[in-house]
Amino acid sequence: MQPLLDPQSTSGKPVDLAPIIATDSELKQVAIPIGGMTCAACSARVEKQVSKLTGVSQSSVNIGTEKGVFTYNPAVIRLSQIKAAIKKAGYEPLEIETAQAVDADRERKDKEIRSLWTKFIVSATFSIPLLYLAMGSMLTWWQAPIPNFLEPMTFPLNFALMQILLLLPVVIAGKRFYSVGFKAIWQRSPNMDSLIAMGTSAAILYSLFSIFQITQGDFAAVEHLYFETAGVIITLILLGKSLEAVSKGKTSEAIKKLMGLAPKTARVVQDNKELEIPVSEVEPGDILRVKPGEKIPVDGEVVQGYTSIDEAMLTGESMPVEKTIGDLVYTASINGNGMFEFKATKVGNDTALAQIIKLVEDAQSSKAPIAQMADVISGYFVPIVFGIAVLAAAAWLIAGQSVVFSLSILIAVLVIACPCALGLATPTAIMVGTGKGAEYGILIKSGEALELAHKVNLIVFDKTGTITEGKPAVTDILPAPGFSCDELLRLAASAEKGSEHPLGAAIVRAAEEKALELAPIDAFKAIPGHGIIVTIQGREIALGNERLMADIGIDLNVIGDGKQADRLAESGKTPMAVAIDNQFAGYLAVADQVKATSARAIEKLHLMGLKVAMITGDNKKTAAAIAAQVGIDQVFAEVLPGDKANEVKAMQAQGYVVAMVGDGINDAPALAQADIGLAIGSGTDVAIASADIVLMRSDLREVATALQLSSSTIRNIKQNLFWAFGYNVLGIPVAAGLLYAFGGPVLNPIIAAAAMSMSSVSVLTNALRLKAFKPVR
Amino acid sequence: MNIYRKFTVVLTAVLVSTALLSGCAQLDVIAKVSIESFDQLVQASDVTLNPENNRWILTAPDDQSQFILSQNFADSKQDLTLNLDAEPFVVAGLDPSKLTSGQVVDGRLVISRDVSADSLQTGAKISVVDTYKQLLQIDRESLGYHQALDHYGLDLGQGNKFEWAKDLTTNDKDLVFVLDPAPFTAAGTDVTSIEGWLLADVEVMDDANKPIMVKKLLKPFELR
Repeated sequence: MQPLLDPQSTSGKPVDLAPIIATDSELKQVAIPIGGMTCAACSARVEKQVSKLTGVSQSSVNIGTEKGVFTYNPAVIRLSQIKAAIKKAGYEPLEIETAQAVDADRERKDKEIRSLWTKFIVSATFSIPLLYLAMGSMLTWWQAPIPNFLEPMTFPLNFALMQILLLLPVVIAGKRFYSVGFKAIWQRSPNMDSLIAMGTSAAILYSLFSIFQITQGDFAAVEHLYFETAGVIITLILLGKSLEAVSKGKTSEAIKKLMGLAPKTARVVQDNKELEIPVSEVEPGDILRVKPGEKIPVDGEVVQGYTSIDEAMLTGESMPVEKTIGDLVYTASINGNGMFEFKATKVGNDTALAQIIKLVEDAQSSKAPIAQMADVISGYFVPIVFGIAVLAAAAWLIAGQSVVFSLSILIAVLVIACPCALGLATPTAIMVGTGKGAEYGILIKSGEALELAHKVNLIVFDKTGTITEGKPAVTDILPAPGFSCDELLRLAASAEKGSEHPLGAAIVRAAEEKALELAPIDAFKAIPGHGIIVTIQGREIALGNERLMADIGIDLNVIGDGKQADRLAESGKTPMAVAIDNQFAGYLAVADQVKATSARAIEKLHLMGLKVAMITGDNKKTAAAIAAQVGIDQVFAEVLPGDKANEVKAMQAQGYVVAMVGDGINDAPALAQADIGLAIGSGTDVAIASADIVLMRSDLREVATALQLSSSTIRNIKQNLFWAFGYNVLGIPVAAGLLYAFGGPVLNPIIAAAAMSMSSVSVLTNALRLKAFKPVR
Repeated sequence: MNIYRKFTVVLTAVLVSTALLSGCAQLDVIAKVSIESFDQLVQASDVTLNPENNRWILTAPDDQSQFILSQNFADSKQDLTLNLDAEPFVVAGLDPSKLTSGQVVDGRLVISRDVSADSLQTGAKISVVDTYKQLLQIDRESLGYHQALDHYGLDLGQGNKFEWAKDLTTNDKDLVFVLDPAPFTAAGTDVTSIEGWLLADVEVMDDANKPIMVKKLLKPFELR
């Protein structure tokens, strides 16, 4: 996995590194929405401009989300300087998003869509009569009436000036192409707008020259007017941009849905009075009241009442969860029939919902390696196209074709080669893919993870809490002669009191159920992977596996035939040996129930052709029993926490692309080591932080869903790139007149513009197909 | 200003400009350049004024074919006239009685159009070019431009025209009399064998200003 912060400068500029090299904690990361970007060349340009700044260590701009993520050292550079660099590149740094700015951002995007549609309508309103006027007289098969005063062979100047009049509003509607496009050329970083601006300007300038010729008496020049070409190109591009904006909005619908889940107000209880306040004013520690059917406004802990809550928005699980005093509740989950009060613990950007939104947004803003490749190609693409256009036009001129023909070739190549489809191919698919994942409770933290997941050929599962429920219960108490069941349980529970280990917690629970009085611990020593040794009321109690007993020299063959532990393990139970004052006191067996869906999930993975392994610190027999129950191919048992990552590494060394699925702190190194780490959402924060993908539900079938989603997304990206590349690879030679050279047709610039717009729309439409993704259950 | 108001303003501006365009003679480059061209034609041709009927007479180099422009449209019904030798048509089979009455008079084929009854400025200082300018002011539509031949043409109605080259120095057909062959064919003429006349396919504009190819009888002259 990539480190979050990379202190290496990407600018390549010699700088005094002392103030720049900062530790991770000194660096800040900011996501800035950027307006005005139209293609991958634009995002590459912003990246380049910001990367040049001293103090900026990482710069990544995503055309799909229209956001730039910059890592910088605030001691060296201020945020305002980064914004100034974006502006200098010709784009608009917008308000940095906060939870409160979400609505404003949505409104801005809606406004942008409305504005684009309006521009398109204005443009079309004038382009249609312009096209009619210009082309109508040439269509011999159609009796298109034209007023006499506009008849080209009678009043050519009227005919030409009328076209300028009709073109002017179109140019005004598309003025952004010129302002951004020419600025980019001036800054030697041409983009898609530059191609449009150059192509249409060439048409307009040549037509203006033709008008001059008309005024000089060369009436035949009336046939060399190309205003309608410029007008229709602008109109079609605006249409494409409008459709693109709408489609882009749809690609981020999932995140919008998540954002829309949070309620706007909360009912705070102060001095026994209820007060409805904006959710942004809720402070941690406030007591909030939630009535039946209402949404939970912030995260917190129930302090009064009993209810059931629908947490489907967080976990995808449709069954309501019962909540009582001490239980945690989460923002945007829906209260059932009970009324309760809870204490706010996490508000604003700290809530679970805000964290999920951030995870999804970060993933959508991140660039998959395949996207980076497309961006690099797009960066070189525009200047190369300029070259091809000029060369093709010059070649035809030299070959004896007219200026008009060569100009038409120049315009067609410039217009057809806009790399917008190329730039959109990957980010849009990733946006839809990650959004779709969120709908299924699968939070994919980066585009890279989404891309890599489909290559996985070995899945390694942690056992406890992953394949099993993670809430084991004591099933057998086998005291050695001289010890009672209750005494054995009481001392073992006393030793494990406060333990977060599921096995320890099970023993404590069993003692509590029997109302046994636990004794305080005087001394505690944990031996990772083996067990614990504690001192209680002057007695030394060792609790752990057989290795621990062997290490401290305890003879276990005092109960029955000495094979008790083996029998327990073979039936899938975890035997825990207890020694008191260096004397074996007996076994406690703890069993963890296999999740109802684990076997089906592993079967599904097998059907997908994947090898499935299990890794656990548990003994070999217990591990084998669990593995047999669910159909695991390979078992790594008795693995110490620190060795899980090494085992993963060893499997990678064998050529496997490994996905690790786990939930505990002890799984974190393995999750980080694996090519793809999948954390169970109910697991620890460390595991979630170490993983690439978080499964909000504890249902392992979602592992297969995540991999299927990755495959579908990558297939979609490949289709998009194929069409985008294919379109350009075929379109440019045709536009350059290759077919014409062999007796075929020449491409009209208007057709080129329509094809160009449609290529972007087709790529977006294909990306939106991912919205229909349904996992094979 | 909201977008709809902006849209209305732009649309209004375009419509107003359109109206201005339609009435602005200064923008009529074809008419403007045709005056210079007509002047060139006059300079290169034999043009005289017949004081008896106040008509300008442009005689072609064959001394037979004439284009006649009335000095004052109020005085006559033959404001624009082609006056041609009828003999070659008769030899080719023309039965003059089958043409419209008055088209063949004293061995001359007379094809004319009454442009209007407007009074034109006359007098010693008024030249043939001045009269031509007044013709354009009164009836701009009678002037056309034939792009394929780079010719101007004055419409005499019924498919008949008087054409001249826009630029006499570059065109080899400086002056062309154009007749519609249909009435002559109907009157028994073999239009393919009229001496001095050529039957050719010519591109003209139809009523919807679409270019169409039609047969025409042409009598071209080179003046320079």
